[in-house]
Amino acid sequence: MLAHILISEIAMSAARVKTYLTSHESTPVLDLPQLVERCMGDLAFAERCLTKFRQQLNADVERLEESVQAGDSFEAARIAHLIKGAAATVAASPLAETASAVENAARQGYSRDADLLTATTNLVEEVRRFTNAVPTFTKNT
Amino acid sequence: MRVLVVEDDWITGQMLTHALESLGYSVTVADDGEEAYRRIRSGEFRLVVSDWEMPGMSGLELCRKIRSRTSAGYVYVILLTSYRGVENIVRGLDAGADDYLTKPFKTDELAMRLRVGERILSLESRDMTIFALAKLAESRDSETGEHLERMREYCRILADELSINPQYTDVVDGEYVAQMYLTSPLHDIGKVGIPDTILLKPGKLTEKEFEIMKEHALIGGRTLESVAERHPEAAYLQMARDIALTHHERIDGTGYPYGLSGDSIPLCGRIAALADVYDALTSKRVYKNAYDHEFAKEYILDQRNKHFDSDIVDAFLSREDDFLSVSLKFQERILDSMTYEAILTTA
Ligand SMILES: [Fe+2]
Ligand SMILES: [Fe+2]
Repeated sequence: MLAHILISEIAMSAARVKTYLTSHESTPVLDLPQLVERCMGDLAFAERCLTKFRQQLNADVERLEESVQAGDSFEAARIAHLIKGAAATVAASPLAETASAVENAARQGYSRDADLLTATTNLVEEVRRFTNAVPTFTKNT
Repeated sequence: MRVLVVEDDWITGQMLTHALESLGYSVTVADDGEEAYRRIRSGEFRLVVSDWEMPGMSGLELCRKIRSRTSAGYVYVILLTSYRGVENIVRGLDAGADDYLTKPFKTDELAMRLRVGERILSLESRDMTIFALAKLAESRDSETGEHLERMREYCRILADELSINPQYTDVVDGEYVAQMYLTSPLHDIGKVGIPDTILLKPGKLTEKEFEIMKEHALIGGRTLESVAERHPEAAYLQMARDIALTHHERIDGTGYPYGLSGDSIPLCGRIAALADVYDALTSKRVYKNAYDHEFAKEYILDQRNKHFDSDIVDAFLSREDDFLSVSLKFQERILDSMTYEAILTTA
């Protein structure tokens, strides 16, 4: 039991270092200890969740951009809300915050509004930062 | 215990399931409110963790729908929400939610909220069972009520005494003593299945009648067994079942319904046996006059290792004074009501 805790501690701090190294800005894309805690210390499960989350994220962002282009702010708000919830669950708070900004802008109801466009651009950027950072540490833990 | 998770986001649903399963729950996920409501209506789930914002039926509407129809058992609903404002908490309470969990969830908070929910559900089934007993008991023999009052006191005294015996400290703790007090009144619940002509007969029962009377242990045991199965979260129901089933077993194997002997009779059944017999010997019943405390004590000592477990006989001896004072306290109450009746008839 103790050995198990120790191993996951080591894995977690190694991963934390790598997250800092691979993300370009100072804020880590994800709070790994928080995610591992939410997965009850099960690293393999945490990794499966991240993989699934990344797949879902790419599809969601694509649909989000389409609905913003099409001026469907209702659909944009719905998708942004989904991204926000899932991102918060996997402890990717910068991503959850940018998604929340898109949701709020879309809820204003003005389609193709400048705020919505800016928020969407920020989200797409954060998604890129996230997808670039995550593969490096999940493979090596 | 089964938990229904209502969550439209797949990842969150999976992570909640994983966490709840690690905590020992068995989990089903419904990804929208309609499906959740259908499952709850089927009676499979009494503990629900639901997302607030979902397409279609929201968590709030789900709560309202659950509360708008009465169901066999209470359904405990925990709402998952990223809103923290007072206004939203009030909205949730108003819709009938029992508790909140903030999103993203924390595992220790999740564990705590579910424990509270389980506890409330078990208290609810406890109240329901005791209430059912009270109704059944008062509908038959008028002396049954007083017997139950004394019986639970005797059981508590014996269990309390065993709790300081080093041999029993692992099993008999404060919780055990409290459960003994709570569940011992259910020991004769099976008497509802015995015909009046036998149950209320003033004279001695014939052999055939006595065989029928003996069935009350089996009837009670089976009834409580089925309740215990439906409420596995309520541990006290298992004790209630054991007491109802085995309070007429004897340590030497000559009792009924199964003729169990020694340690194969659950401890609570052995305790209840002595408490029940002591009360039968010291209180006035339809079919005989009360014997005094000394006579009861003599019988109990004589039946050491025959009818009764020697450790429980010892516990009785150490707490003899407490037994006597309970018995006297209730005798005074009977005398009071007799005086009252005498006044009424002479007036
Ligand atoms: Fe009995
Ligand atoms: Fe009894």
